[in-house]
Amino acid sequence: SQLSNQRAAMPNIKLQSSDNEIFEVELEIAKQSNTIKTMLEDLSVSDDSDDPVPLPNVNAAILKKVIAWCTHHKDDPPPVEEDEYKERRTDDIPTWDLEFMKVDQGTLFEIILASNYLDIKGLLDVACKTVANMIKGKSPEEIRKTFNIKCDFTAEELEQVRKENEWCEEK
Amino acid sequence: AAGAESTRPQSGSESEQDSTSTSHCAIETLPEVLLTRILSELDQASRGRCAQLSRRWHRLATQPQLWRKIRIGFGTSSNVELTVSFTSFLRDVVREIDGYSMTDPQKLPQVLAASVNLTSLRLFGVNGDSALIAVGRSCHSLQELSVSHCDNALSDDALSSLLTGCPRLSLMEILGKWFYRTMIPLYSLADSQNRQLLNQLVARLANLSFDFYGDDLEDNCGNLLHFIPKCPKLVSLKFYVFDFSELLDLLPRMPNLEKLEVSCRDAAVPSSRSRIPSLPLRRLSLSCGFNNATPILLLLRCLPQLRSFRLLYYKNLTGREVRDILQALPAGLTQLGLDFCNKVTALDESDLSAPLPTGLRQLLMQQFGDSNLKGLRLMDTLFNCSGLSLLVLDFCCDDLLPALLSRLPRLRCLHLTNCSRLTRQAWASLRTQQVVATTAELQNFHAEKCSESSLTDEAVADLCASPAVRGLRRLFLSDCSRLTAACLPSIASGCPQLTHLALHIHDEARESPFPVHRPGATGYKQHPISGSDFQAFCAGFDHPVRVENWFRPTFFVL
Repeated sequence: SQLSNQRAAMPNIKLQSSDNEIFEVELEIAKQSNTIKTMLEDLSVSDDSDDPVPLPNVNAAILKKVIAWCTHHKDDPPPVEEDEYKERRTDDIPTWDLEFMKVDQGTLFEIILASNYLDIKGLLDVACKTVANMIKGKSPEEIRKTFNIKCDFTAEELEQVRKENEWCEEK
Repeated sequence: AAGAESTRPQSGSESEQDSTSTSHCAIETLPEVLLTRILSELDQASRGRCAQLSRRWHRLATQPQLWRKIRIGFGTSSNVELTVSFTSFLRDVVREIDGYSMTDPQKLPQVLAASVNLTSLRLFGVNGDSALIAVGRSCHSLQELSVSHCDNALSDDALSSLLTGCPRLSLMEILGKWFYRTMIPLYSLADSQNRQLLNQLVARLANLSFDFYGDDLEDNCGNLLHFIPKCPKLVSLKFYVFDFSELLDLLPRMPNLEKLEVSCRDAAVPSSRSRIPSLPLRRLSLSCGFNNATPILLLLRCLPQLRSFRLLYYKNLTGREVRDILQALPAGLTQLGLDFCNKVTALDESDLSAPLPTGLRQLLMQQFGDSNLKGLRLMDTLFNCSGLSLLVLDFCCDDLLPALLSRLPRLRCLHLTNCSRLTRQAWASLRTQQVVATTAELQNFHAEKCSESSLTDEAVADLCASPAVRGLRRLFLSDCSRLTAACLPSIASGCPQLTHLALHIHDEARESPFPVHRPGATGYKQHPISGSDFQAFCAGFDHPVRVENWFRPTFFVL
């Protein structure tokens, strides 16, 4: 209960989305964004300032998602000091993040844009990995279909790039 | 549980609503720096497929920084026109190649000729002779060369080609297994020209590794370096010597060697007059089975700067000899690993009372056998090592466990690989532990081979009441067939930072016939605690927790 008292006493800041919605968040959660952290330092905004921080590149729907991610990850344990393990992880997206990333493509790409703009490394990593997992194991035609990518190669060019990359398949 | 529910990510119907409002954003609208980042998360085959999507994607997916390291199979699909790709976008770009095939490489010379800036090459299962001739002809910037399971890799022509064509080569690894019979003969002692070429090449290297194992070892590479001249550049060496006296001859010729990993199959006992000048070696890993400990003592005495010492000894030693080795340890040692393959006879508590180097940070005592060792005398000297952060012990007793947790303030990682002597009393004594200045702050705790009667739900509750496990990230327990879901809440409340829990049951029926020091050799069977109990356990944490019902027995390599 001592812990929760401390949390309650933590200062909040206000974030303003591109569509002018205001979100009130704990300072420590917002500071997972290096962009916000730097803004606060540069502007030397005092903790009790009531002026919202404008985020003109992020709309309310995405900002809500980003805040949800940062809130969930605020207590992530810091990296282990003496890590003796060298095990290989291929499934290194945590279950919660996998669920979190179950969104439509438009939202996923907006999360990538927002996490890049806000400079939240963990969120950008997990979002880019999610897109990579959607590409893996698919044929070029399936990838085009998945992401609605138009093929502007001529038939000859297509045959050439196919040959050019045949060795990558390691078969 | 209700609190956990509320932190679940929002998906399903709500995200469907999101999609209607924000669906304009497509992958093609992302800036190229972010698309490049996504491409960098892909494997080589998937990235190659992205290069076939469109002109824009072709340009993005063939950017040089994405192709510095590639893997190529040389033997298969003879129709593949490697030259097409190498002339279009890989030329000048590739720095590292992993090449493998069990058949003769047709394509290797082409690829190497196009990879003019190659600095690192690993070859597996190709014809060593023709491959290395091609390497010397094309790879003039090569610095690192690793050759696995390639026959005839040290032929005259191969060595000459490397000597002329790869002036910057500073690291070479040659690896092989006994079943690659075609590799033999690897090196002929009778051939003085071959020997001379090898000597010239080795004299240029800073890192050299010969890694063989198998029955024909002594015939084929036992004396590989016997006639080596002085190698002042050599910093790191891994190899095999047939005889200990050969090692003694060799070391003075490598005056700047810092890291040595050596297997010594057998040894005539060196005469007591054998002397080696003091050497600047900092790391030594010695795998041997001499008739007694004398050679080890001799070696340790001439290595005053040794920081890391790992000994794997596979013949019988007496407890008295173990004590002698402990007493001969250089004072500046920070890492010590002793592995006696269960072959110590007449080991007594007092044999472990020799003072340990006080700067030790990592101590591994593995496979001390089924002795009745309690480790209490070790405790007396261990507590002078106040900086100890990693401890792996093959024995433990009821008095030792609580002492380890309360008297080693820097201890972060404790692995007890044989807890069969621990009783309920050991765990119960942890419940009443108070926080003191020297309380350990464990991050990893393994307790293996616990007796089933001692490792109960109450025992786990006692462990989790100890202040030493408050910051625990990883908890691995075996054999715990007595544990039920009732132990999970105590773990959750005692170890709020936990990220990884593994509970295992040893499976005698699946015991491997291989020596126990082979990782993964021992069988384990599933734990009866249900998946839904584990899920509920994980949901109680604010962060992701990984739960498993098996793990490999501990085996550390320093």
